Amino acid sequence: MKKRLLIIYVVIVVAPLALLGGLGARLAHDERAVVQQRFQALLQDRLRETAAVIRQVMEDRERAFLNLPAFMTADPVALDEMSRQSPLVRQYFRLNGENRLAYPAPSAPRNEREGAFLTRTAAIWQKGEVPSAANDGANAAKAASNKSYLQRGWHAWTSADGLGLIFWWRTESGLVCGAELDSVRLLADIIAKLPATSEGSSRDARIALMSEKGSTLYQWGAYEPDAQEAPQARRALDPPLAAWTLAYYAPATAVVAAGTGSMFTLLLSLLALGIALAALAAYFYRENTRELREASQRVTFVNQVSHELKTPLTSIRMYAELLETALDDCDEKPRGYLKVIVEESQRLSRLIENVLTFSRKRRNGLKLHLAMGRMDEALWEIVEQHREALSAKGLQISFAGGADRCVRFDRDVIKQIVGNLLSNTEKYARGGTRVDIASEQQPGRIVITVADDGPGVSLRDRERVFEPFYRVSNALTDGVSGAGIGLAIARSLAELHGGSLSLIPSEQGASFRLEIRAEEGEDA
Amino acid sequence: MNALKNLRGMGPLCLLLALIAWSASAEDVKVDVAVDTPAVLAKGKPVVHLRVALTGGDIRAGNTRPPVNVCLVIDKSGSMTGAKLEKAKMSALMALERLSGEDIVSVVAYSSAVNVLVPATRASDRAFIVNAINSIQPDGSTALFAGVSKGAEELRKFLDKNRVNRIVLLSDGIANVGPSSPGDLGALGASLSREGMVVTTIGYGLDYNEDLMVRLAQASDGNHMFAEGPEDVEKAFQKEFGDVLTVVAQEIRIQVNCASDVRPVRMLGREAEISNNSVTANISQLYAGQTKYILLETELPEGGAGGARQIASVNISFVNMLSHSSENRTLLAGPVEYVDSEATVEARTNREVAISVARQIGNENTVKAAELVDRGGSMLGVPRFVDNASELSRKAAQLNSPELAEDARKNAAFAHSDLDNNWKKERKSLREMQQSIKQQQKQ
Repeated sequence: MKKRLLIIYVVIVVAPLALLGGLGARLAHDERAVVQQRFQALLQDRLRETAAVIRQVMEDRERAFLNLPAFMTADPVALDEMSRQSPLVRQYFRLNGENRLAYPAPSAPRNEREGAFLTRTAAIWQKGEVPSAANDGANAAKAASNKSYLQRGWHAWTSADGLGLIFWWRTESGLVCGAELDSVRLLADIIAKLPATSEGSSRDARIALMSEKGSTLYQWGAYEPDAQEAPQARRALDPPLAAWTLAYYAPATAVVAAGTGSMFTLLLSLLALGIALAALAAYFYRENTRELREASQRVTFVNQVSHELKTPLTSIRMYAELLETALDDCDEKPRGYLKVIVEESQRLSRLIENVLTFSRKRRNGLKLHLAMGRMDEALWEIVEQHREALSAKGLQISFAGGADRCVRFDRDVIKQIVGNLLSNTEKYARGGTRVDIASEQQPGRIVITVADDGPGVSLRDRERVFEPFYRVSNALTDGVSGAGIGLAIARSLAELHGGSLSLIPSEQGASFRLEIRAEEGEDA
Repeated sequence: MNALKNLRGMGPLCLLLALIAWSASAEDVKVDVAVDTPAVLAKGKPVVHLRVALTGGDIRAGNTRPPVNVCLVIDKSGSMTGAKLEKAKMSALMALERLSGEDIVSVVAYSSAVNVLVPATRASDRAFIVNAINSIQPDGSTALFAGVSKGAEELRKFLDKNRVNRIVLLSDGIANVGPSSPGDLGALGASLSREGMVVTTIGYGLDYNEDLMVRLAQASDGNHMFAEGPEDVEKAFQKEFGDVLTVVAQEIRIQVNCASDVRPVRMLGREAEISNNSVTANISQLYAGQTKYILLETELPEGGAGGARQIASVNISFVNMLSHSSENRTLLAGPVEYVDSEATVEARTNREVAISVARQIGNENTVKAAELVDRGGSMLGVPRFVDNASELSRKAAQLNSPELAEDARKNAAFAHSDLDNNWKKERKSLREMQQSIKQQQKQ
């Protein structure tokens, strides 16, 4: 009993913990995914900021070009001089009205630098890629509606020498001018604007600018990734530098660390909950065991009292019965009194017997005392014992014996079961007229039915009448005394005797069916 | 300038103008325009070398030296670990001792990433600079390009025509993060040079890429030095700062406008741009007591004996660092006279210019010899060194030049050294020598 209780309490503590733990783990897992997503978003933000720094460099370049005052001149000498002196530009150029290269003159470069420029960019002029928008028929309408679209643009290409970049713009005269950027210098300027790495730099990040070939152009941040390590995030730069990418490296633990915080809190709260639940369970367990202890103390007390009562009662009964025989030829009146004494003392001893059986059963102390005998004989005895009391309630008892072969059974148990059934009838079958008892011998077992024509038991209570201390509550039962353990004991005893006791459906009244195991044997 | 066709007539006037300009700062920068053979044979198309030389005067008492804006870009890659880095740090600190409160210093250290240890700051902030340099710890690889880029950004903060703007790069290894071809670094150097910066490179130890370091220095007309051991690095820094502190002129631009019938063939030694008949060359800085020059090979038209002519007008502009003013001079090259006798040609040869020509041609041959060793070891290269050495000593005797004799001796020494086993080291000292002759570094 205690063991079961303990198990229940353990379940009460463990089950919610396991459930919460499971849910929590799932939650933590989801949260980790969310954290990872957020981490990704954060990295992307940082890369976006970096990309913005680089875009700023490009925009500064654009502005510087657009503000070039001298570029209106068509003088090749002046343009040549500009190209020679500019730290940022490899070569300036101009297009003519048909968007063909006017300077440097394609057929007659003035010097090596112009010649090299023509070689590098030959494909661009052949394909008419600059100015890109103006040469694109599909974009013409768009270009017309959006003036700035037509006014300037970038053209980027990659070759064995790396990235090539041209910025072109339309001057007020409508002609296109442009500059081929020194991409090495551009990179140097981008590097100059990007962060450096100091001793105090955080050790958990490294951002790298990667070339179109995937080699590192520049990197910062104190974290040193392995050679084969994949970046946590990547982002291509904005055009025209779209061939270059930014890569964010961070130790894998940084991501996990971002997610373990919630896991830790979860475990902590689970622990707290577990302690609370365990404390609660311990409290209830203590309360319950105390109640149980008290209850068993009460049962023990009742038990002892009943035992104490049993001895004087047996004496009362014996002497009353002796007196009854002695007063054989005496007046009717004292005989009547005596009869009441005998019946009531019989009733009392049945009650005590029930209480003792009940407490024995609680202690698993019920034992059968099997002996050879005839069932009908035992039944007759009981019927006779109850005949008077029943007829006083207006109930006629009849017995149809069908089990007179010699079998092994516990006479006292059978008498207690049937006695309980009959006193039950006596109590609750008011308004009825008869009680029929019938016995039937079957191979290895005996079936006894006790039926009355009283108000019966409602369908609802059909099973519950067998629960201890349960009493069907209605107008009929009110005012009836009893402990409410009679049927419960009867059923336990029937089961102890290898059988069963049940209420069987009947047209009227209550009809109990008792079935017990009873091996046939030689008459003793 | 386009009036070159009438140069002959205008000669005296130009000369007069030039003289007026020249006398104004005669003490600070001397400019000399000369040809190696003022007399040429009146036969075929004679080749004449035109030399434009600038000589820095001494910094006189009462003349303050120009303020310096210098950035030290120091390699702190893993290979610098130990005495190498410690000595470099000490040498850098010792060199910086020579600067004063007017000067600007920045320090950048690079390995896989770049650390701006000292953002551009006054040299008088000594404690900060010393602490920063002492804090350098070696680790990682070599992001040389990024180091120079960041260094340039620090210089840019105080970039000024009247300052000596210089990056001093120290590297002991192969650049392996970011652009690392000699071409890319050369392009960077050229770009920085146009902004007014000069990059000096100090190759440290035997594992750096001398081609890359030389190209970077050469592109901005900076010094290149080979410091094999920790003792050499101190010398290199001292020499560099000796140069930095005696700059008398910078952003020197020389434009030679040849007469229409004179063809500019090539520039000896230096980079130059030839557009039609106009040749442009830059010299970054001129130090006190030093002569730097350009040498242009020209081809004259045929002419009859007895005729004389100017061959080009030369325009020189520079920033005078002592007077803090931009100066501009125009001089004429010539006259060159057509003569009949070879003896006359030899007799009238300008010895100084001829020596310069011989040195530069000898240097070109050394470069070719080195390329041959690269390709096929000493088998291929040594004969070229031997030839070059004998040619140089012939010239040395002819022109009575100890410099040429020294060059001849060095070539002979290379020919006799164990090139196959020591090429790594020999190549570095060779490249240092070549760059030194090419840029006329102060010895």
